[in-house]
Amino acid sequence: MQCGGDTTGRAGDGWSFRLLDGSNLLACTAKLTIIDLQTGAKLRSESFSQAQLESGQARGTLEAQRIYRIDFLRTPTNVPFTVELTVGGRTFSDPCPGGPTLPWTIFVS
Amino acid sequence: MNRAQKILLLLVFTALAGLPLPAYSQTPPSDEETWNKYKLRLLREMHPVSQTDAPALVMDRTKAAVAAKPTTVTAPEGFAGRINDSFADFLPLFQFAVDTLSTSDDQKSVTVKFNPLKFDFGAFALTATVAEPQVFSEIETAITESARQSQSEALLKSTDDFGDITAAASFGYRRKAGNWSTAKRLYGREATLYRSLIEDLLSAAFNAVPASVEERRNQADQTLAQLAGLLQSVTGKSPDEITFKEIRDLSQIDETAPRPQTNEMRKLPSNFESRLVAALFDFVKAQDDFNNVVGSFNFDALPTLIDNQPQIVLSASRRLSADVVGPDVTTYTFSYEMGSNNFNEVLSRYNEMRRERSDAAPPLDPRGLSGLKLSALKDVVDEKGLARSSVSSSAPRTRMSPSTPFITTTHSPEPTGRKLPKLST
Repeated sequence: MQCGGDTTGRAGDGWSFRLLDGSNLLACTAKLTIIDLQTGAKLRSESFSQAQLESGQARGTLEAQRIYRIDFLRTPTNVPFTVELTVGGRTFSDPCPGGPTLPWTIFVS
Repeated sequence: MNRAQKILLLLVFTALAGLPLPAYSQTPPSDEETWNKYKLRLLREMHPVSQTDAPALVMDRTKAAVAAKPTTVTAPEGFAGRINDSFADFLPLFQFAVDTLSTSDDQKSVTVKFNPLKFDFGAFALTATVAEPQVFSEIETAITESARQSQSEALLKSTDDFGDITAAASFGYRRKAGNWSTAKRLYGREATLYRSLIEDLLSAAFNAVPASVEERRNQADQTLAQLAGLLQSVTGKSPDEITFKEIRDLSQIDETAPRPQTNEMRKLPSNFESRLVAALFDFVKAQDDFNNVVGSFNFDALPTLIDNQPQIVLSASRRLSADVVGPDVTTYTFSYEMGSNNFNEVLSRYNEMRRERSDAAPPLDPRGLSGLKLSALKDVVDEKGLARSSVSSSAPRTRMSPSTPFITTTHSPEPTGRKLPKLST
């Protein structure tokens, strides 16, 4: 997965989102939004600080019929960084160039 | 329809046919592209950003970091090489304390920079520089010109490579930010001091995205989730691994052909690709709107504002030199540096706005306070004209206006009381 994108997971799988190389960032924060797959309505959201993202505290367990979307905001936007998304044992870890934000989305049917 | 109407209609059709289509609709997904790669491409086509600076920046920084790393392999020749060799014997023991070992461009001095010690109220840094000994100019000029060179060489033999050492210590005062309601006037330029405040700003941006944009993203994600579910039930593959060629192949299987019994070969609806492309486009369009909202807060001006924060630095250095090189000198420096456009201005603007609001209306809720923080940043950035410059900057931490010290140094050469060596002329 290249710097954001979609993947699928199964209910009960673990997920985690980690910032591996944030040394060039002034600050960053991530927001997890959980959406109902049937209605498209937002169920809840949660924010994570850079310290939480670096220490791997952004994690949880996937529930059925949900969409998990992780938005990642940072400054400056023109420097590269590396994040790692793990879903059900599959790991996506790619260095991301500077540029616009694309969220990571996990579909759980 | 008369002739004039027909011509008009023809002209309208011709004009419409000649209109340039948006870039994203001109380039359909290629066979090799995956769902995700196509999604990323759509976003970049909608919101083009120069990608050239970032890799170059990484390369430069990596090279600089490698060059600065203590090493014994590429020590330069001559004086600097000898000093490097001497240090190299001890580096393994002191690697935990040594940050960098660098040689000046002219190879005449080697500087060891120790890891800074950081406290809540400041950071303490130590460096030591070994310079190639040179005969003290006053001694040199006292020698008759004809014998100057030979005498100078003879004098230098009385000392060794460590005949000119300068040790320097500096202390930078800093005040770590707490939160937006307590932070008033902050000092220091290290990013981590301000991280909590900036994370608050970034979180506030999430709340500032209009509900309509969020709903569009949610609905597009809902459609994509349903397509992903269908795709996975047919192929067992995830959107991150399926290519458009596979999608096309699965959409084109002949209905009349005997269907293989394996789950992987079941057919996708023939309009699957068009539905997927439309859903991806809907999402990326909503995402582009999201990025535009977030981008309007000018967060990229923040590194500049932090770089211009005031800082107070106290430093002292002691030069220990052999008699032929010159007197020992102690120097003390006090400096106060400040850039004209700094983060403290955002804080004071925020406090000013908060006071105005609390006088006129009931106290703001957290969402209202988040809005004030964003407004304070936007006001300062717009007022100072920082937005354009910071976006076009290739370096992430470029200072907008050079911050110059306006209180400078006290200098105290110390009389040595040593006897100068006798000169033979």
